[in-house]
Amino acid sequence: MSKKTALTWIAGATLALSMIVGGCSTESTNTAAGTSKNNSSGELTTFSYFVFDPGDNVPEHTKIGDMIEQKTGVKIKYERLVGEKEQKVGVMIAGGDYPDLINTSETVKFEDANALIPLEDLIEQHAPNIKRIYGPYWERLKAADGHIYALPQVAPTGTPIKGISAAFWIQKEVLKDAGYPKITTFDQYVDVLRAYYKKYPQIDGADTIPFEILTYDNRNFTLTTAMQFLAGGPNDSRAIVDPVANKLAFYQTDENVTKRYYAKLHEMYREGMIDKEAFVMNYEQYLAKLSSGRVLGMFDQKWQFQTALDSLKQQGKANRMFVPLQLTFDDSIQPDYLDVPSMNYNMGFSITINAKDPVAAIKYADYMASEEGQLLRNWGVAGEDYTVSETGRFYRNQEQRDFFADPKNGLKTTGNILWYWPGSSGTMADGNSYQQYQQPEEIAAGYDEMDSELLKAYGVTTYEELFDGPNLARKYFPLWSIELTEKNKVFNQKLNDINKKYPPQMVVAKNADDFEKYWNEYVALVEKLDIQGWLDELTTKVKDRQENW
Amino acid sequence: MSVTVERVKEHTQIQKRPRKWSKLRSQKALMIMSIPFLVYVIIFAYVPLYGWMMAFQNYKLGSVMVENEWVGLANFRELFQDENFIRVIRNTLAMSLINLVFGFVSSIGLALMLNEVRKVMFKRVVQTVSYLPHFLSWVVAANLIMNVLSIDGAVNKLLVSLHIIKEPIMWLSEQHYFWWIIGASNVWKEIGWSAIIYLAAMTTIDPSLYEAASIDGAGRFRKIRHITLPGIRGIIVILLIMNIGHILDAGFEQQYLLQTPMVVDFSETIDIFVLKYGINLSRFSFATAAGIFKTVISVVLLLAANRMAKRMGQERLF
Repeated sequence: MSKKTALTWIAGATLALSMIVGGCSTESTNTAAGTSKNNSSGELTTFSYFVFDPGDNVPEHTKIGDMIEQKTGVKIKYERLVGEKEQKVGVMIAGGDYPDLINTSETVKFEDANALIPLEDLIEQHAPNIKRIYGPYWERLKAADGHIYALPQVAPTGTPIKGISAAFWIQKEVLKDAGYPKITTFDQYVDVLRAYYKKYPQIDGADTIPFEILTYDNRNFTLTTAMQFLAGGPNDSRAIVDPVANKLAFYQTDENVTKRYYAKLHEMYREGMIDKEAFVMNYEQYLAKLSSGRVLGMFDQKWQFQTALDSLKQQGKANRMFVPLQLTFDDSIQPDYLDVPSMNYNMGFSITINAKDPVAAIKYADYMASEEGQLLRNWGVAGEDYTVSETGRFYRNQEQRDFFADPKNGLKTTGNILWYWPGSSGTMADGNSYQQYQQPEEIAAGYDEMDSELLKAYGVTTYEELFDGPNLARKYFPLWSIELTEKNKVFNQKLNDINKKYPPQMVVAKNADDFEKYWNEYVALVEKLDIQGWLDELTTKVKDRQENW
Repeated sequence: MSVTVERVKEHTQIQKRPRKWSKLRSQKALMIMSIPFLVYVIIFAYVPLYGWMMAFQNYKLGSVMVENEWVGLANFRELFQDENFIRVIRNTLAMSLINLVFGFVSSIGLALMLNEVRKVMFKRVVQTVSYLPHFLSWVVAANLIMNVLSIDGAVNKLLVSLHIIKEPIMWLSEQHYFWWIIGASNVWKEIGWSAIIYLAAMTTIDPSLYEAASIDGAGRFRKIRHITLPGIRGIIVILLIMNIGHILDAGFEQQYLLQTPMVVDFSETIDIFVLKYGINLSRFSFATAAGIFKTVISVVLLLAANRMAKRMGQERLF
C-alpha cells in the first residue's frame, strides 16, 4: 500500500468512526428533546435553558415560575454553568449538543459555529413586547452578518438608572472621623486614610490596613486599570477614548497616568500604607480582610466585594462599610465613573438550532418581556412579595425585605434565575423602577443611621447623587465589549501577563531607583507588543459604533 | 501513555508470531478475553488521535474537521517562538523533577518506617492521617496552604516563636521558594497515598529472609538496606519509568491556585500556558499543537527510561 492510499484509508476510517460517534450524540439529544416534549398531559412544551453563569441549582418548581408556566403553557428547565465557561462553550460546540435556549456572553463563538437562529423575523412576527423594548437599539443588536442572534439582558427605558460600580471606596468611619471632608483627588484621599491610620494603627485588635489591592488571577484589573478613572476615563479598558474626536489613547505606558499612579502606590507601600500581603493573597483572603473591618479603602467594582459588605452588616459593623468616591488626579479633570446606560451587545438570550419550536420559545420570551411578566419576575406578586402605596409607588415592607434578604427564599420564589430573560431597566411609565433593587425607596431602606448622617453632611439623599452622570456622548460604550480579532485577543492576553507581573513589582520596589528600573522594563516589554495594531482595530470599531448607533 | 504501551506490545507480538504460532493458538481463550480491552484502547486512545489534525489546521469551532484551512507547522512554529514557552518548559521540568524526587524519597521513606513499626494501632493512625489529604481537592488544599503560609499564618508564628526568623516571611511572594512550596505541598498531600503501594510490596517479602539476617547479626538498618529495599526494587523502577513519562505534567491546579503576581515567572506550567493562550482564546489548534509536543516528549522519555532499565538489567515496563 502506498503512503497516499494508506493516508486516505486512515482518514476514511477515522471519519467513519467520528460520524458514528457524532451520530450517537445527536441521537441522544433527539430522544432527550422527544421525552421533554411530552404532550400527553396538558400540552406543556418544555425547553431547556442553559445559563452560562454559575449559581444555585434552580428548583423544578418555584412560586413565580409555576405561575408563568400556567399562563404560557411552557416549562423551562434551567441548567447553570459548573466550572470553566470557556471549556463548557468549547465542549458544547464541538459536540453540537446544544440546549434549546442559551444565555451567554460568548455569543460570537456560537454564531461562528452556526449554532444560533436569527431572531429578527421571529421578533417581528411574534414578539411585540421585545420589539417595543429592543426596537430603539435594533441596528446595534445586529451581528456582523446583519442578523440578530442574541438579546442582551436588559435594555434601558424611561429614566435610566444610575448604578455605581467602579469607585474608590472608603470606610464610613474614616469619613466620620475626618468630619466629612470633601474628597475629590487621589492625594486628598490618601491623606485622609493616612491621618486615620496614624490615629488608629489598630482596629479591633488587628493592624489597620489603610489601602488594599486585589491582584488575584484576572481580578488584578483593580490594580492595572484604576488609573484610567483618575485620568478622567470611564470603565473602558486599556485605552481612554475621546468620543468627540474619536481618538483612542493607550494609557498603560503613559507617564502622566499609569506611572504617576504606580509611583504614588509605591510611596504608600514604603510608608506601610498598603497591605504587605496585597500581592500574595487570593480572592477569599481579600474578602476576609475587607470583612474584618480593618481595611480603610480600596479601588474595586462593587460586585466584587458585595459579600464583604453583607458580612460587615451582619456582624453589626455597619460603620466599617464602604462609601464610593469619584476621584481624579487633580480637580481640573472631569470624573467619569458611571457606566453609560447601554447594553452589552453580543451577549444574552439566544435560541439554538436545536430548539424544536422557536416560535413558542420567542413567545415565551416575549411574555417575560411584557409589563406583566417583568412585574412578576422582578417584583413578584402584589401584596405578597411587595406592597403598593396609595400613590402607586412600589415598595417592600420590612417583613418582605427580611424574607428576600435570605437568598434561599429567593430561590423558592423565583429560582434566582428570571433576570436572564429579555426585559427593561430604568423606570416604567408610572415612574416605578423595573428592578426592585433600583427603586429609590428600596435603596433608601438599605441605609442605616450612619448613612443618613453621612448623606446629610454631603447634602444628598443617595450615594448615586455624589457622582457625575455618565457621559452620553460615549455611544460606543463600553470599549471592552468590542469583539477583537484573534491576533488582538492574543495581544490582550500578553498584556495581561505583563500586567500581572510588573505593576506589583513596581509597588513593592525597594527604592525609587528600583521602581524606575521596573517601570522601564515594563514599558520596554509592553512596547514590544503591537500596540498600534490593537489601537487601529479598536479605533475603527469605535468609529463604526459612534457613527452608526 | 497507555497508547505507547499497547503499541509496543503489539509490535513485539507481531515479531514473535512466526515462532510462537502454536503457543498463540493454545492461548485462544486468553486472546478472546483481551479483545474487549483492545477495543477499549482503540476507541478511547487511538480514535481521538484524529483530533491531532487540528494542530496542522486553522481550526474553527463547530466546523467539520477536514474542511478547515491547512496551515502546516505554523502552530508549532508559533509555540516554539513564543518567548514565554522556554520559561514555561523550565518551570514545568523543574517542578516535575522536584515532585518526582521528593515524592519518591518521602513515600519510600514513610513506607520503610511504617514497615518497621510493630504497634498496629499507631501504624494505622499514621497511615490514615497521612493519606487523608490525598482526598482533598486542590482548591481546598490551596486555600489551606495559602492561609498557613500567610503573614499571620501558622508557619510564620511557629518560626518566629522558635526564634528561627525575626520577621514573618511572605512565602508566596518569593520567586525562589515557589518550586519548593509546590514540592513540599505535594509531599504533604500525596505521601501517605503513594506509600501504600510500597507497603503492599513489602508484605510480599519472605519473612524468613529477615529471620536469617537476624541470626547473621544484621541490625535494623542493614535489614532495610539489604532486604527491604531490594525487595521493592522492582516496584520502584516500574513506578519511576511510568512517572518519567509524565514529566511534562507538572500539574495545573496546584500552580494555578497557588500562584501570585510576585511569582508568575516561576509558577507558570505548560498546562497553564495552553489554557491561557489556547483554550481561553478558542485557539484549539494552538492548544493541540502544545498537546502533541507534550505527548511526543513524554513518549521519548518513557522509551528512554525503559531502555535504560533494560540495559541495567532491571525490571521494566515492557
